[in-house]
Amino acid sequence: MQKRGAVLNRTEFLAPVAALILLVWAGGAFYLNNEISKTRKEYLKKEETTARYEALKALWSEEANKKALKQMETMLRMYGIKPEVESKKGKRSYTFSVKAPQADRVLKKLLNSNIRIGRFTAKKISEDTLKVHVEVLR
Amino acid sequence: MIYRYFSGFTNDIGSGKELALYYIRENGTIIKDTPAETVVLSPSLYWYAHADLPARSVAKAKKLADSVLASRPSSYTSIHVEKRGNGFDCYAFDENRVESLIPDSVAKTAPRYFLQQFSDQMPLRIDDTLIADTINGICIEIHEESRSIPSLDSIDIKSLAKPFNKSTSKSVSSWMAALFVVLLLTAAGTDLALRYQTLNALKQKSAANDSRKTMYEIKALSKKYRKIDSEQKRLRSAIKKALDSHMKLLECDAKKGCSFE
Repeated sequence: MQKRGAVLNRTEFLAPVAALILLVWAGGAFYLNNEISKTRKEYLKKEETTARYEALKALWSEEANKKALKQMETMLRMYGIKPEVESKKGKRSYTFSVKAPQADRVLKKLLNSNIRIGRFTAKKISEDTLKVHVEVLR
Repeated sequence: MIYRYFSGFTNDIGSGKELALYYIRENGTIIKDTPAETVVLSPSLYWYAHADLPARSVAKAKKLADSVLASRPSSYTSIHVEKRGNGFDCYAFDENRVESLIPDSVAKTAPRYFLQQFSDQMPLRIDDTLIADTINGICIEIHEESRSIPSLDSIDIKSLAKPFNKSTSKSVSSWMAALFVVLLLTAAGTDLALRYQTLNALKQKSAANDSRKTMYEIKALSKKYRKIDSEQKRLRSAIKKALDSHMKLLECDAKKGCSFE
């Protein structure tokens, strides 16, 4: 009879034990779900910020600026333009004359590049010649 | 023939329910008022034997009990087995006969016991002339009027094993309970471990930074680059606009804007 009683006691003990396990499970799952959701949000925000930073860095970082300057110099050479270059405290000035047929294309390429323009001057010196002065920030 | 004995408890007659202990005998039912409806079978209605069966579970013992109770009347086809000490208490009874003797007013779900199941609480007075006692561990009814002993309605039902009309298969055996707990623990553990793993992977992924810059630096640089970007876009659009208007002199500054003649 005692053994049978013990079985009964164990059986009666099962419900609270199972309830306790379920409670711990539910509590743990709720806590972990919250943490996962919080961490995922943080991660996505971080990823978004980093991606935006990388995109802007590719355009306006010092390395990108140097590369853009080289591309601009190459482009000017391709059009047979030899600019006067002057360097001053973090700035570099390019002064060059461009003939009318080339002016549109040269200026378009110059403005579409990602050089950091500080100052830009264009002066019509004759009917078909334009004198351009570009001050590039570094 | 039904005998009724009152022992101080109030019946719930008003509500149509009579909670009582029904002592079922071959030649009559004795009713004792108790707080819970209970049915007790007299030894005249069952066959009992205690046996050390080579079985661990009650289910296996039940299969072997048939041979232990071989000398029982042929109509006693229903068998009930329960563990007791190192052996098993085996009971056989005629279910149809028992059913026919139990009054219709008794609920089908009322717990039913064999008198033998109260052997630890013997002797007990059944009525004025009858007492229940044990001889060699077996409960029997004896005609005795003089002895002053506790009445049948004083039995402690809570200390008893399961009533025989509650199927043992419905009760959860200890190993089943242990298995259930283990399964539940395993499921909970696995689930929580997987969730933790996901969280850890996310944290590691979030901590990994290719640019070797802190988020503070990244945010500060992003702000700086955004400022340059908007300034340059503004300047370029102003230059393009001015160039389209066939000017003689154009002067543009990143901060001041454009002026032209």
